[in-house]
Amino acid sequence: MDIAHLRLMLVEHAFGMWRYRWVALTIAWIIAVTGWVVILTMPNRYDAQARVYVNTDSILKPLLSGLAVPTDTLSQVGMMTQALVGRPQLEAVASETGLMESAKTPEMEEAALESIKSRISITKSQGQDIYVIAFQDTDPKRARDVVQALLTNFMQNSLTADRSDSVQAQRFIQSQIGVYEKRLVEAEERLAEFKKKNVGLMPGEGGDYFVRMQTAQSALDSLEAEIAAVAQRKAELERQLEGEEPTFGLADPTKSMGGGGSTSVDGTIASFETQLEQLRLKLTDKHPDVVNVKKTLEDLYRLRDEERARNRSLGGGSSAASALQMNPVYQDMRMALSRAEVELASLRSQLGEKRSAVGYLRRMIDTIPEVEAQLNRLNRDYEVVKRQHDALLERLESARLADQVQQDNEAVSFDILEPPREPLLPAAPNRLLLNLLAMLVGLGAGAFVAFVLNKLDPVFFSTSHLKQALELPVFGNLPRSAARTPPDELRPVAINVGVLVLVCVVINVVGRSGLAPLANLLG
Amino acid sequence: MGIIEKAMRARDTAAPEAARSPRPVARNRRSARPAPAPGGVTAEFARLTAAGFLPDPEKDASLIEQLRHLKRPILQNAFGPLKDGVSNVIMVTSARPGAGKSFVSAGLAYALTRERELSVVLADLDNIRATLTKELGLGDQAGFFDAADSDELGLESTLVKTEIPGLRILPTGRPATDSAELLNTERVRHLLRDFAEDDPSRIIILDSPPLLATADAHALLELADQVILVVEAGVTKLSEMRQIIASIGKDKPVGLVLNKSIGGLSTLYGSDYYAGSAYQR
Repeated sequence: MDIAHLRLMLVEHAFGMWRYRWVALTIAWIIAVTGWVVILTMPNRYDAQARVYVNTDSILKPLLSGLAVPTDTLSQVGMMTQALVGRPQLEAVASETGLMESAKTPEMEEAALESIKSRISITKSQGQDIYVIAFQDTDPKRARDVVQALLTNFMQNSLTADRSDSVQAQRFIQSQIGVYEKRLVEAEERLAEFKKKNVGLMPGEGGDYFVRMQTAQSALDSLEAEIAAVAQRKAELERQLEGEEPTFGLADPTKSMGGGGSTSVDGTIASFETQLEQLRLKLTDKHPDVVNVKKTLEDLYRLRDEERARNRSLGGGSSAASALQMNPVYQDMRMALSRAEVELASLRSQLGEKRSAVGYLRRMIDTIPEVEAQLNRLNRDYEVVKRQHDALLERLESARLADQVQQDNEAVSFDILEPPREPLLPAAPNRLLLNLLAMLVGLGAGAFVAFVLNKLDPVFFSTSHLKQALELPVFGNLPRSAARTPPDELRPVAINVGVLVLVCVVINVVGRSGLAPLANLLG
Repeated sequence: MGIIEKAMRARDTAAPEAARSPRPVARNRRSARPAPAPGGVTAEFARLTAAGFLPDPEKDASLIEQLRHLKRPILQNAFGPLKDGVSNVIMVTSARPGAGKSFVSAGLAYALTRERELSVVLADLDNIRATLTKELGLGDQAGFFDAADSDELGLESTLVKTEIPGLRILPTGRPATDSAELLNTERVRHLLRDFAEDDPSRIIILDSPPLLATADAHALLELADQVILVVEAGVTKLSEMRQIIASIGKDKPVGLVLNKSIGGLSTLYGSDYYAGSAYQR
């Protein structure tokens, strides 16, 4: 099909349809006028909306970080959005704004609530914490009221919901604390019972069993060494006292003078002499020990002679004067001896004690570590329970603090950026557009009817069509003579369409300036 | 059926005579027999141009050209080698009034007068409208229906001469309320048949009433040898055309003429189209 043929077909259709121009125009008028009336009586739809800023970045947040239980405000608001269109909220809003008045039966109530729900829209702007709460209604005032009610609900709910949340959290923590407290007491009792049962087996300040063993052993050793030393001293004192006269120098001054008296090294010499004798029983004279002892003895003898010589030169003059007096040296020695005896006795009694302690520890080598391990276990359990308990106590305090913070209304602060207002102009229907649409649909329907009518019974514009349709030869094609051209038929049709458009414009202008009363009257 | 058969027979008997020597006879008749119109009236054919029924040769040259093309297949059918008997009665009709029958009839008659040796009779048989009769100012002349109703008045005597030689007008005559019944009579049939067969060089163009408007046209269908159906571009419907073609039947040559076609469309489909198809039937 070439372009010429296509053009011919189009022109043929156009001219063919032209026959039904009045039918088409009538249809256009009927549809347009009907449409306009319908559009005019359509109820207005008003949109009221409020914009709310929800400040989740609380000023207190940095201060509370790590201290309070963090409340996730973002998810909170998301949940609020859901909760806002929940049934109880809807019912509250509906009854507040009188939207439920017409509903008599439960079914009607249900339908009314559904309708309200479908007309509410809550949107959150991307990336910001700004919420838009909107409602559609035929009454601008009611639209505003509903948004106001929703807004009030929104704010109240988010506060109370959070508060009840934290109260619940506190209650939970408290119940947990109760549980841990009980366990703590139990652990404490167990520990006390155990300690009572194993008195003396438990590690004291000195540490565990082995440390104690060592300490006891070394204490015993040092005690023994001390006893040996004290015994030695006592023996020496006794020996010296035997050789000393209570009235020193009076009874036998010469003897004492001649002899030169006892010296401080006498005891030592005696013990070394004993030792030497004992060594000689076992060893030869050339044994280093024997040689050593002999050497020491020689030194000691020299020391004694020196002392005796010194004593003689001293005692020559004084001995006569002090002969009648009590011998002070003797007295001192007696006192030292008695002190040493007391000391020795006390040490010996200690020795028994220490020995029994060491013996006891030795006997308990199997029992004590066992008890210690058990004690450690009990202690550990107790510590764990105690730590948990303390942590819970701390958290309870934190929760209380967090709740306090939110009650002070600073964790989430609401800011109404744009309070709901009574809309002056209806958001819908777009009468201008709809009127235009009605007109266009009318014209379109008219054209369509003309098209169909023409298609059903076409007329002829070309000899080719004629020949093809009637299968008869075409003898001639007489063009429309210029002289016989009929009057311009375009004009009345053009005038008609023009009037249609004009009426459409007039309706829109009048409708803009407000035919709402008329619409209400008709509606 | 009897009527048709009789007509056929009458035509058949006249055919040899017409075939023998049509042209000399025609010439003789035209010169020997002056029009016996009452009062010796002469119609001024040119008046039709002013009334819009004839194209102005100066203004509508293309239309004249189209009419010249139009007459070819008609002549072919009437006098060509394929003709059987005398088929010189050409009925111009349409489905509805206003399609341009009178225009086509007048134009065709005018174009045919250019053919020498042809005696053209333009008969206005539309008793109701009588367009041509009125336009030519022959309203008070005796015409076809007077002749049909009277025993004395022959068709020859009602012919009106025009300023164009070889073209005569047959007016409608008096308004006949019973025109359909009249046309259906055997008498009228013979009258017309005889008139046609009197002179084989004669070509008679019947400007008929529309087929769907009156019963007259259906009666005339049986008298015609050829039928020209005028289709008004953009007005005549396909359904109407189917209806009238069905009533014509298949035994007569039928040709279509698209009238009042719109310039752009007719030039798009050049004149060569119909010219070729004219001979195909």
